[in-house]
Amino acid sequence: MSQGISTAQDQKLGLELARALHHAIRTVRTHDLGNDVAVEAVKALSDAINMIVARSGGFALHVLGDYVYVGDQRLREDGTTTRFLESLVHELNARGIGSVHGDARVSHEDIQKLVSVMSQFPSGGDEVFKEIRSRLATFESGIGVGPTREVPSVLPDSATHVTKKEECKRTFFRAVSVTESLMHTAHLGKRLQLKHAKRMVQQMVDLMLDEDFTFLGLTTLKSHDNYTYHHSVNVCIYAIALGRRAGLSNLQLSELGTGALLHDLGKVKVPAGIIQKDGMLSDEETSVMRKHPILGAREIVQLGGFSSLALKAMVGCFEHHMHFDGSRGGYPELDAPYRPHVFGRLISVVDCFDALTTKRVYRNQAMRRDRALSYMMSESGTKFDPLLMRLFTNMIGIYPIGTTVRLASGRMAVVVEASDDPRFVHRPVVRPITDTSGIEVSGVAHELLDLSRIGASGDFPDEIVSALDAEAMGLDVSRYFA
Amino acid sequence: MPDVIRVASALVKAISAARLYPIDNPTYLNAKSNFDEAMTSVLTLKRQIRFVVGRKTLFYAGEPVLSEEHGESVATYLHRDGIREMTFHQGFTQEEAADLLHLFTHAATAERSQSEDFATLFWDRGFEHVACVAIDDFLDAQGEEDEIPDEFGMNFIPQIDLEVYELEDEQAIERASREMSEKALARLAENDAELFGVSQEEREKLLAELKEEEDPKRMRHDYTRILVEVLLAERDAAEFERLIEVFESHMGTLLAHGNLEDISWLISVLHRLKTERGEVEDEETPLIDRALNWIWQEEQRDILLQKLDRGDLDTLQGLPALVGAIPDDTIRHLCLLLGDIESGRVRRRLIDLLVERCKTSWTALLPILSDSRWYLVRNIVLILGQVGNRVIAPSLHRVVKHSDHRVRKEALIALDKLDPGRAVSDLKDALRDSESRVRVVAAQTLAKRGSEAAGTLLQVVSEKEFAGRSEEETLAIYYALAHAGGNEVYEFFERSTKPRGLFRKGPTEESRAAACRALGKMNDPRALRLAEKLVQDKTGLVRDAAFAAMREARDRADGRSTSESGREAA
Repeated sequence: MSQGISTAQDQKLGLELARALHHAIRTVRTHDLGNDVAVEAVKALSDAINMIVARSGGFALHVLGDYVYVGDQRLREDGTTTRFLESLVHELNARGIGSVHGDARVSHEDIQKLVSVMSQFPSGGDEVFKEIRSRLATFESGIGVGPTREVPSVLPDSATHVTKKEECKRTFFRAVSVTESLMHTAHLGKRLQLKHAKRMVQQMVDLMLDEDFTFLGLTTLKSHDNYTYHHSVNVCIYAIALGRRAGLSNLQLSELGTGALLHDLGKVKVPAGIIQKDGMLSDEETSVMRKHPILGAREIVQLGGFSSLALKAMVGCFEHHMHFDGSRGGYPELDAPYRPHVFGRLISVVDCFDALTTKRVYRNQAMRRDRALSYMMSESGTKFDPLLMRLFTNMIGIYPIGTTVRLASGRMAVVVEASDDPRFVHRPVVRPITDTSGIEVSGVAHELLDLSRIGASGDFPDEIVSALDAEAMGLDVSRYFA
Repeated sequence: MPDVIRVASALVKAISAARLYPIDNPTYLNAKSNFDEAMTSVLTLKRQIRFVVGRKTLFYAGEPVLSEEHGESVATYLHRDGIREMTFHQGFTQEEAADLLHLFTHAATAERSQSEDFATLFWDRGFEHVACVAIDDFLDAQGEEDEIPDEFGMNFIPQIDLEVYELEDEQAIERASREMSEKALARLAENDAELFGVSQEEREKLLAELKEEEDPKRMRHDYTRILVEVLLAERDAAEFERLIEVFESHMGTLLAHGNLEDISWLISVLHRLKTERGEVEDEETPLIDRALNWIWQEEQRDILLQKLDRGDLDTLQGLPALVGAIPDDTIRHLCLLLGDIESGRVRRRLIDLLVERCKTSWTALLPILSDSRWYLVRNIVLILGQVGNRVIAPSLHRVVKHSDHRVRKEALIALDKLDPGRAVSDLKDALRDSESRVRVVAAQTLAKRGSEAAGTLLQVVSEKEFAGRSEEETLAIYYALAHAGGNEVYEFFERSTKPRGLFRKGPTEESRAAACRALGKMNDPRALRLAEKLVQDKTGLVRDAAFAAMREARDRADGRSTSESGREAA
């Protein structure tokens, strides 16, 4: 089977196949093939195989090391599957069988023969394997077996070659999905395991070492259905990128990223009627909404057990709406003076930026990225830590990544990377998207243009004259990053 | 292959040793050294050793190199946490080896919190020459082939975020942002790099602040702070109960680190919540009470005691906060600690603190006066005496008859402080106590009243039984008499210092010497003259006593202390 099992449905079918094969082998060992129990077991196996063949045109079940794979993917083990999967591995290994496979021709009789031959040779390693294989070949059936294989020195998953950019994209969506699962877990009142969030963030930190602009570009993607999850991942990405520029260690970045990823955790406890309200919130509803930082902190608190990671996650939840100078308007409002932590202040900056640049149902359009940044700069020192604001601006440029701009040459472009040099925060790297007459370009014209790099003529290649409203123009900038 | 098997085996032994022994233990050092040696010998020949981690077996090049069927093997342990490969590269140092072994030990503890596992902690360490490939069933279960949905970027986001929602005056915001961006661009045109540049000094300051925040003590405090805010905001009874459990668990963490200051803060928050807010539901009160009494449960109390007795600095520093924070109805528990603390220094410190704390809540101490431990009762009497409130006195009268003389003695002193007038009768009774030290204290205490007490004391010394008292007691009582002073006392000493007459009638030489010595305590010129006369006495004992008395009297006149003069006299 060439197609990989990638969805939950395929996982389920794979597990059913493994379970049915195991059951059939065990049943036929003690019952004749004509016995009702055996007939039932073979029928179940036949049904399981047919389901997969109907989807994929064939099937292949492999044993690699201790694991069972159907197609390219390992079948997941849990409390209900471990036992029969282990037993199946044992049964196949005993016969020297490393795989069972079939194509579209496979019939119920083929499956009966497979089970029958296997029952005749319960053990014996390679010799038995050869015997089973030759018997199946004699029948000219659509089913076959392969020999056991050595455990590969590299796992199949990591062997798959992907470019860094693809890996970033895959990691981004995986992070969205993980965030969704974590928040769903919290929503159900189940115990959250911070280690899953941390592992996800560790992967992002590793990738962002070389590819942070790729990740920053991915923050221009906005989801209709999964705002909170996308927003959380965006905040995580911005936080890691900003933290790295502040000089944080990898360990600190992973804790910061975990705090950022979970900063809106409390929203799962806010009634959906409020969080998705299409219209003005009443005072009472606003007050409920304003509780989400403390509700998020409560979720982490209730995990019990103090740890550095738990504290950082609490800080992310609790402080992300606080004002740097403790002024009114920030929340939660506390009786005693409270200075937000460095992580809290940092998350507050990046959270606000991502939120402002997202289009809402109660707001005609998202704030332009450069406008959002300028607005935030005007609040520097009151709402936001001025040092972190400068670092953030330095990181994304005053025309932030994702901003659509008009160049002096008349071309339109999308900002894809900020300049490293603080003198050139207004001269980012851009990707031109139109020619000078405003006609959309493609191919080679999509090459990057570094506006801070002086050319042979001694001049800058172009310069930004204004930022444009991409949404008003119906332009989806995310496609220039995806 | 055999050399790789040796590495795997040495790794397992070193991990076991690291888990069992401290890092300076010879068994650990030997195991670690074997591991270093095995690793070095292989890595000089190979660029790397890559172990594939099976459920119970470590594989190298497809062959099993380590298999442990019983107990939790290294492979099982790593496999469970999702580690599927572990590769050691050339350049692997002995420091990295030590760090890795420590990680195996540390991870087992950290995993209990479920916020970390071997894989996350391994990553945190940032090993240069060891790499792991790990899977996470939770992460893997999310599916890896999500495509970018078509609607991204095209739809309104239906969720409210207050950052945006509360920006009411969009025009004003647009204006502010435009002005700011024009200003920024103008300054950039002037090459004002400082506008967005961040100096090294600023960066270091930020990192220093972060370092301070990462101090373990500070982190525990910050966690406590947020925990308190979460609790104060909680209105749901079921959630409140869960939070109280977290509260107690966190107090356990704080106690383990001797952080009584934060525990005190938590206690005071709970107490305020119960007494001041008036919003606590009926079902919440017992929970708060439970948390308030948590530290006095046997297990916690034992930890606190151990820390106090060991003189743990943090615990001692936080003791005043704890004494100040605990509610009145739990003071009793703190006082009971006095019965168990072995360190005299700590006991005295606690007594001093309790004296201040009990000024308004001394009634909490009264039940302890019935405790069977005399030393505890004595300390409570001491505290009550120092609290200095007259209304306490009646409660102490019964302790004056306590079976232990040390308690009786302390009770007399306390009573004298609390209500000197009413103490007199107890003191008079105590002059005939069965215990010498009580009689002496009673006499000394009474003597402070001056000549009005002289009659009572003279009556005691005139009694027949007094002749049988020890030399020390006789001298102490004479001293008390001398302090009381007055004509009668002088005349008594005059009589008492006269030599024995014919037929050896009159005071003994020892008694004469004691009376003579007491003359030095009298603030009376006649006493000095009498002492001068006695310097010529034919009995050496009396002469010496007279000399010491004169010297003391002179020193007192010169403003020198009795002890100094006493030493010289000796």
